[in-house]
Amino acid sequence: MINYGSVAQMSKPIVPVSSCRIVGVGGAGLSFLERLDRESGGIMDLVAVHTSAQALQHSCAVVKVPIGREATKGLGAGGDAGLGRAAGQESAEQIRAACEGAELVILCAGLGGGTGSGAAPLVAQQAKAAGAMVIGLVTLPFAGEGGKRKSQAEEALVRLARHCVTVLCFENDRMSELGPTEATMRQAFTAASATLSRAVHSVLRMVGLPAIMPVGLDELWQMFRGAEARCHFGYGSGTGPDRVIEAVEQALQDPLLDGATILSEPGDVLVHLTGGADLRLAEVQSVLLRLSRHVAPSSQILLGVSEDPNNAGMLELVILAATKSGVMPDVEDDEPTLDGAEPGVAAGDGGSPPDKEPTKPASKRGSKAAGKGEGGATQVELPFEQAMRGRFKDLDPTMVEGQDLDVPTYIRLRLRLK
Amino acid sequence: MARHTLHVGLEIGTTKVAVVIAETGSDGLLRIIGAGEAVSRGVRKGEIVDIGKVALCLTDAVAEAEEKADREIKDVVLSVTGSHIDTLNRRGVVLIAEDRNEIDEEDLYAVEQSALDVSIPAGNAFLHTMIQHYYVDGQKGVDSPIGMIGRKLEAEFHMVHGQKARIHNLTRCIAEANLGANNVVMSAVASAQAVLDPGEKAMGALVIDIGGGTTDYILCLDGSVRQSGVLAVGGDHLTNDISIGLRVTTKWAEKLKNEEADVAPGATAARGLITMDDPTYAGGQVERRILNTVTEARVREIFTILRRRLNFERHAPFVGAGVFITGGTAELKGIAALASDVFGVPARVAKPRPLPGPSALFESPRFSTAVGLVLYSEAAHAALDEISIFDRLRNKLGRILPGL
Repeated sequence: MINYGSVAQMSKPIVPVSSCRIVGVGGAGLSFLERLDRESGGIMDLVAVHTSAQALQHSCAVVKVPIGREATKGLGAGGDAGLGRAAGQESAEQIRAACEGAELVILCAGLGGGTGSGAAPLVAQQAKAAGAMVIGLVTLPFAGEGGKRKSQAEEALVRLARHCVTVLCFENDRMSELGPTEATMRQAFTAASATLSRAVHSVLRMVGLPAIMPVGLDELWQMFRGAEARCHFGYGSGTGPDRVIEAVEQALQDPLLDGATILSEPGDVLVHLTGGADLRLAEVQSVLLRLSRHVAPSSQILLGVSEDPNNAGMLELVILAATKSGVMPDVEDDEPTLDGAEPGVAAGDGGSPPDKEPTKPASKRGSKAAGKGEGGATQVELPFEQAMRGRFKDLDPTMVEGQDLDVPTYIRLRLRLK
Repeated sequence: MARHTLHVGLEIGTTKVAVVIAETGSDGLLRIIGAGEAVSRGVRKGEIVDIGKVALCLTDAVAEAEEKADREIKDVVLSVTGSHIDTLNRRGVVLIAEDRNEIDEEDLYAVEQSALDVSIPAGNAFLHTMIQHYYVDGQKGVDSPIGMIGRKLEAEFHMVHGQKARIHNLTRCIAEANLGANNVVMSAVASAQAVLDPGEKAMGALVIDIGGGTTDYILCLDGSVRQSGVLAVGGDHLTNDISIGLRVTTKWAEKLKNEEADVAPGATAARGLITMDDPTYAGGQVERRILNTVTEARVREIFTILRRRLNFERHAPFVGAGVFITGGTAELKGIAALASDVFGVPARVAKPRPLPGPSALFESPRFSTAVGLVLYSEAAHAALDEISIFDRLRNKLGRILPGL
């Protein structure tokens, strides 16, 4: 299962503090900042943007930007996205000033409500105008919250996507997959925000840690250009002898990866590994091999490897996937009118994609699905492991208690036959 | 009313498709009148990967059964398995209104609904809600609380859920073969229905159905289902292990598994060679010791995983009837001895309980699930006849089949 506590175990991110800013918009955005602040020990550059003066007062963020003093009288947008938008427009200057000087802005908001849905796209626009690369990290409302919030959220997602390099979405309906079915409300929300916070930490570590095979902001940017606005994210970590298997399985089950079916579509997949000084080449190859079973053969795999001295014995894996299903129009103008008709933008795609049979693409790829590592990591196919799986080589592995049960038991137990 | 008395069980397994047709005669006895079997294609680890291929196999098996039974079938009861199946135990609570304190049907429905109020992954649906115990005002051991006086009704259920998409694949196959599905039943539930009699359910029993692609298990304690589940490992894995370990073709691995392999504890020390009578392996011989070692390791692993999953040590004192091994892989030599070694309680290979009819048709552990489906269908049918229309509309099979 997913390990909720893992962010706390993750060593402190070595962030280029000056160049990265985390902006929380609206109620959900602010409470997410609280969590990040607690976990990172207050070293992150946090900016709170809200219509409600009262909520801002209690925020932990260093920079607080009250918006829409005229529009809302500092009382919040009350679930009305129109009001949220008006507030954002009114305070565009202040938002821009708060984003000035940042290279990377991670924008966190809960879509569906007033301030989040209304103002977040404007914040993204202003951050972009201030010269930053913007990554959106948003939650989508529960299906049970009704049509209005859903449509507000979807509309906001489309608007937001125009100004962001990419948007990571967490559907609240997926919360139930995060924990035991008996999870309390608090546990479920904690798990959800832990998932999101892992995403933030991972991205920061990816660009911030000393790297053996670096992934730069430019590569991230390149990867998402022309891709569908929504991106999928998976995080996994493992320790001990089976850390590769643990990390890969956990990452593939990450709720933000949306069931991993996304990987089987052609596109770009970024694989980033953080290990300690004991990270072995064979482990990197093993991760790629395992993932290659899930990734479409025509996809490009970007590989990044970082070393964190605090990670001894531990392996962390981040998967970012963006499909090339459409072309993102590079909208530069001010607040564009919104009447749908935006090619390639996944509007109305609130629900998860239809559950595809994952074995089918796998069987098509067969054994030639070796990873296409870039940046020097030439991936050598290991026919050995395929042979060990025998007739199950084209199927998804049967993972139980950290072991692939499709591999003969005697091999895993290292029984001597001769 | 012929349609009402015909029960058809259909199991789409990884290695075979099995159909069993039974009929309730005018004497009220269930007779098995036909059975059909076809090699299964398009199924891996219990899950359908090719609907078209499965539908073809299905048609063959159904035609064979129809011919033997001399009946035409339209509706079937299906079994479902696969790693997507998940289970949980849950308690529901309902307070009885002040103005009446006698518990009625409505309250049983309400208590079940309250237990169902649990979040399962989006895209999953409940297959079974099986009652374990009722408690009236905290008092345990109430079999049927209807008519009792109380203020608080509680009930513990064992619930089974699975992915709708996978279950839909099954019903699609059926539709392709021009059949309709009356009901979908978890494989393990069906197998238990076939191999256990009510006495054994009450004494406590663990049923392990090892098929080609999956191992389905169900633990009955005190007459009700305590735990159940699916492990996506089965006979195919044994064949694969043998094929890799002894470097022989799949065909020979299958043959060695069925005819020579012995998994009884101690058989791993067996001596001697097995000569393969095949020109492609001119003079080819395999060591019995290696064959048994490879096979035993796999089966022991399956049992050990189940023991851990069920937390079996805790339940062992209450499993009076022991372990029942069934399904196609139950025909493996020495499997009962190995099970008894792992679980520490008596174990035996079980085939479906005897029923009237030409027993040679179905008297094999391979047919447990299909026969169980027929029994399930009959029990559901009988129960439906007895209760009100109101309940029939709700089709609350889990509740009206206490015990299973």
